[in-house]
Amino acid sequence: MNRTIALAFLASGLMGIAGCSQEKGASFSAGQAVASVGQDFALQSVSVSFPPDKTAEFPAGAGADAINNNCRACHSPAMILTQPPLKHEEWVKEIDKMRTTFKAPVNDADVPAILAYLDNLSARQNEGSLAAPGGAATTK
Amino acid sequence: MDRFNHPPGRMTRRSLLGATGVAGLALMTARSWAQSLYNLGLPGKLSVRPLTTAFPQKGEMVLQRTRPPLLETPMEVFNVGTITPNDRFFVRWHWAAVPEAVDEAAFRLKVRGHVDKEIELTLDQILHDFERIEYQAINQCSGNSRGLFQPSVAGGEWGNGAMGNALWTGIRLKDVLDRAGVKSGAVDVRMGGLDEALMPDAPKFLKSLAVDHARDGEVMIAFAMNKEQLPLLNGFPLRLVVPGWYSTYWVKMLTDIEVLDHPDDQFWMAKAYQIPKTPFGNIAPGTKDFPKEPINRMVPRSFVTNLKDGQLVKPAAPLAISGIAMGGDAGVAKVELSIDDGKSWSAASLGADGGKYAFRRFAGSIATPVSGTMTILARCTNNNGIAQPPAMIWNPGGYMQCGIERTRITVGGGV
Repeated sequence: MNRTIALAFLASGLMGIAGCSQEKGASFSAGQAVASVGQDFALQSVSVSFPPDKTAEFPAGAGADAINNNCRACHSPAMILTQPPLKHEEWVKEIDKMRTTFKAPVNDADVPAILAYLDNLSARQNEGSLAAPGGAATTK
Repeated sequence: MDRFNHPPGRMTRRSLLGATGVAGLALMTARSWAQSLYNLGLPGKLSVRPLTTAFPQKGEMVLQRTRPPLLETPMEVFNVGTITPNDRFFVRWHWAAVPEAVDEAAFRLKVRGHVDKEIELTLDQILHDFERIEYQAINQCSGNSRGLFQPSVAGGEWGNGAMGNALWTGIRLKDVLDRAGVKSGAVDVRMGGLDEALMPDAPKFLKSLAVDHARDGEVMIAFAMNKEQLPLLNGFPLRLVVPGWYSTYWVKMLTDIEVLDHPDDQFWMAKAYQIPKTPFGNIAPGTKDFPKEPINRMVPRSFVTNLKDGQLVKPAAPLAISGIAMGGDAGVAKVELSIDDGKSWSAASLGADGGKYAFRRFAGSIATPVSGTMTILARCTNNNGIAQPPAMIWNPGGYMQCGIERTRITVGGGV
């Protein structure tokens, strides 16, 4: 950055914006007893529905069946499809964490195919040809 | 294509065409154009997410993940005032077994464990049998801004929108603990919600505070958020509020309080949410062995909200800069701006003080260059004298990002 730009701050310093002047805070204790919510405030029972998955299935590719069958019980495909490009050993660690810590019911026989799918996902992301869930391509 | 060609934020069809290229275009035309997309500006990874209005009691949010819900607040929301509206407040759940209904009359809050007598409170008792407290406090995900980490780390790839500031109303956790009578020798107080782990033997989401912290008179059991009951996805009917601490401790749908006579050593305290025991949790990327501790107090941050990164501006003209700052576990003392990469700083003016745990607005003005680009830096210092570190921090969990944000502007024709 050149000196001309560095000097671009106005001579008087930064100009204040109307309505945004410095105010001294009153002495503040977060434990103080006050409430702007009146005693007539009442809670109402709530019943809602969560929406169905936006991207319900992993896009087609080698290993798609294995990942669809094993990796959707606990979370949306989007959780995996929005990960940054990960190295093979990082994906191995993630699968292990899901199985060991979070008790995901993943079949031993499906692990190689799941890993192949994930490695391909990262490879395509690295080369910039992968679409994000919802259809947008990478901004890379 | 350079990923910074397009300012983060809502994408127009034109900017999207520019960003996707031929392969992406083929893919896009196969789907609907009706869907709004949002560019989080994440470096070196997929940066675009759908915008959604499909979630109950929620307005337009950035969809990170449908199940368990992970919804981010678009940055435009932070350009208005200091309070984040309930329907735009970010959402984060660990397990997908979140109840879709809560019966006000049937709900109970239990206090058990190392206490004189176990108690169960109805919502009516919580609303009327205890003194009420109220304050503004920022609720920020431990992993807010994880998507900005370089090198990247796995996890929820948030932009900067996993945070919000609300006016919380409720009762002191201390008063509820006193009603049960904490026995001497108590060490931790562990909180659990109505959400459950999906798999048998998997760790239910539980978080603990040291007993002295739990009894500090500030930690709140909140029943109102911005003077309304909490949206279900933000923890209806009760949420723990731990001011100045990261959101992981703010247990949602709080229903179970267990006083422990030993340190809580379960997964969510001992293994998850660990940060390096270094200033700002910062270590060199790739560092393998380092002392760890559970994430705890927040640190200062500031965000320019009236400009998007990469924004085109008029040449040689005054340019208003404004945004929001947080002090972390102490109030905002000052916010400064720099246009020479931190060599010199000028104080911004500060807006109304909403208390030490609240967002505070800042404002200033610069003169734009005749041509070319300029990078604007904002730095917050809190009342403990802690200032944001000059560069983005790094740790393997992607926690506690607080480095000084940089907003690039370009002087452009036709602006």
